[in-house]
Amino acid sequence: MISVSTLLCDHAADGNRLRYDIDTGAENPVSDRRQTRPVVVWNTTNRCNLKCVHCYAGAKSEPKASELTTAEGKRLLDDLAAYDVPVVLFSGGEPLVRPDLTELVAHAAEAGIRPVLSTNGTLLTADRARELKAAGLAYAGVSVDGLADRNDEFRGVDGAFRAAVEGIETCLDVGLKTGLRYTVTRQNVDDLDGVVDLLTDIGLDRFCFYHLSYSGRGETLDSIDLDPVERRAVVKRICDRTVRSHRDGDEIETLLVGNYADAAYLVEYARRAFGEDAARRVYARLERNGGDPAGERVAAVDCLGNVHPTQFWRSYSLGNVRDRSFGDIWDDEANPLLRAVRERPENLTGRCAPCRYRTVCRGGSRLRALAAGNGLFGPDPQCYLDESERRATDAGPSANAD
Amino acid sequence: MVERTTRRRIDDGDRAPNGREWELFVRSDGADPMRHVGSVRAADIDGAYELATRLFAWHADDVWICPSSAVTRYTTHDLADAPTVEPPTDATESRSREWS
Repeated sequence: MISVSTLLCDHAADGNRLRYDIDTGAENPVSDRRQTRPVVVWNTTNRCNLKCVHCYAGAKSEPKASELTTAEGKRLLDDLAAYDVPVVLFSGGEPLVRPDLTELVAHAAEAGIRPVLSTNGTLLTADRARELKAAGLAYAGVSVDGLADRNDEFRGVDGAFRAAVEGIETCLDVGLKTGLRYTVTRQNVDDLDGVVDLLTDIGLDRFCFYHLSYSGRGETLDSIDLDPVERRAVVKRICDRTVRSHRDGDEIETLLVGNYADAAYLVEYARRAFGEDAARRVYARLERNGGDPAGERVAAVDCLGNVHPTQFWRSYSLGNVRDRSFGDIWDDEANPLLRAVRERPENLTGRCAPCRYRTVCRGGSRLRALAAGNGLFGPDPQCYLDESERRATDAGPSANAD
Repeated sequence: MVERTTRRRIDDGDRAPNGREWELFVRSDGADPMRHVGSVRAADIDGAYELATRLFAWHADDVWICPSSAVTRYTTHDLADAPTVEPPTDATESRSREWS
């Protein structure tokens, strides 16, 4: 997760200490220490009330038998708290279909974990939003993937757009911090500005833009994924819009998720827009951020207790929390894949090996590299940097520059 | 006498929310033991083997795969809502811990 607004506009936000190890000035910073433990995405259920074509979890209308129970979920949260996990993202399926969600959120908060939510927003009634806020929920990210027609087609249910926007309005009304989650594809890229305009008008100020992940039902959707030229253009649009908003006094927070070529692009953008010193500052912050977080700063536990290197990497599990504590699974570097993923910069091959940005990107998504047949350490096919940016030998950003 | 360990019996069937889950074991050298390295999700054994080789071909010589549902696990970890299994009552059963 890369904060465009922080890196290009010095916008303070709650999560920035986790991301960049900087003093954000926020009233309630996430942690006093640099992140050494992963943010854990807990896919609490495989059940969902929508039928999104790009669902990375491959969610269905019925729950899976033997999903973690309430009691098991609480023990999992205790386990994560004992391991000093800073944040748990309650996800799904659709987590709001679980009647015990508020109870689990409260348990996480009481255990000292910051609970946040990823939802399609359609079940966020005022009562539910108030209950969740009272239980300690710190943030709700609501997925919308286009204007009404496009979003409803994507999500497989008529009225999903209206219900999600109402869910966002409900969160704003009850004072629960909320933001947009928007997965950008070739099919909805033209709606992006319209959605941001609409949601800005109702008071939303946080916008997270996701790159498509080749997982779950998204595994076969590479035909609707953006090509490198289109991807670069939309990331530039997001950067331009963020900078323009801040210049106009609208301090929106924008984030890019799922493609660490964006990190390198932001350095290049800062150099062109603000000069070499700005580029070096952006680079230094991104280097502290640590690049693609798979297997390091992000972990996922699915509804049956399987532990994955990220929430998108569903086809491989490191272990299961019913058998072994999360910390024991996560610390087990006798697993050669986990160890190698954590030592990525020295293992990367192809055009990534000599790339000057490999320490801020770490090769991008291993899942996409595997899906493209490039191997575990091969290039992410979504990298859109050009040859001159990857290989520049002029005075580029330095690890020591600040 | 060493106190017997109490374990939970984890017998939760297939572990994949979608598809099937397969446990993986690999060995990087003929003299090494097989090592459990997690599991992969695939529709069948051929798909599981293909995934396993993509993930571990750089490391492993030998790969063993079995359905996750074929494994019954006895664990001292206490997260699961699963029955505990009483330790054997035969106090004469020898244990390696007692030999050290």
